[in-house]
Amino acid sequence: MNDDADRIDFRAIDPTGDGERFDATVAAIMAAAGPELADRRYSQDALGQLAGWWRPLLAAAAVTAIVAIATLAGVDPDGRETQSGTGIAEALGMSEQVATWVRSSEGPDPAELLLTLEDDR
Amino acid sequence: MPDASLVQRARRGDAAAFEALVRRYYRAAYSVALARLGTAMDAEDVCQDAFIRALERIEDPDPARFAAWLLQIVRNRAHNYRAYQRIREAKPLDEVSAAGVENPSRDAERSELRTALEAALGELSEVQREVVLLHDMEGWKHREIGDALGISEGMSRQHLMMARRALRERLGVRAVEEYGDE
Repeated sequence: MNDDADRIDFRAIDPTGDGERFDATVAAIMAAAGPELADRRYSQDALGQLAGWWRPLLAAAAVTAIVAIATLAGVDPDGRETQSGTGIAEALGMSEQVATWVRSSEGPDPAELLLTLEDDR
Repeated sequence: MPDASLVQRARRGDAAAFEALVRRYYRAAYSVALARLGTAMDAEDVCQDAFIRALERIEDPDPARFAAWLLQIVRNRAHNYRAYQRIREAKPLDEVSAAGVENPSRDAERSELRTALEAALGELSEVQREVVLLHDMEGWKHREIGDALGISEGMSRQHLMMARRALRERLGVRAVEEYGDE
């Protein structure tokens, strides 16, 4: 049997036989598919934007982390003096007396405060 | 453009790529749906539903095997549709079917043969209908049919031969297409 020569004629039920009707069918499928296709385009755009932002964001985070690590490496987290004699308060530029007040829970009396401010000048 | 490229583009929401897939595989999908459901209207409904379902899940298939995957969706949707029909009245025809551009004179000319064909197809087994429609209407090769339906090429040939014989007995000379004239 010759597969191609002995074909049954199905043109009467061929859904693409009537071009206009087939176009209408395809148009209906495309209309129904519209929201899903739009969602996919939106997701694709959002992913693209995220990918665009991701690299500079990552670079900025890396720089921040390096600076933070370098700063914290020089100080003791508890505020105690490290080998180099520097605490967090000193690292932030406070005078030794102010740093002492910060570490202790007691505030300075007015006279001490005045003296310290005079010294700082 | 190969299926794989169209599938990749459709995944990104490319409407033109998805439309190309619909145009390329509508007739194959319709063949399977018609083989399962028996009527053109139901087959059209299921095809539309299957293509939308396919788009929603288009991340799933190997892009190069889109056709076989699509036909599996059509079979599943047809199965569900038939089960649904068993417990409810037939649902209203889709707008497409009702709004399709009709040509009464041409429809009248074809209606007798269409009715005869549908009745003759109804005498075949489901797999015979799928094979003969995919081969003779869609023009697929036995290798493609076997791949899509999960049967061997030899079995596809066997089903085709049986289906044609039964259709010819039922339809007589009207069944043989004169390809030599085209």
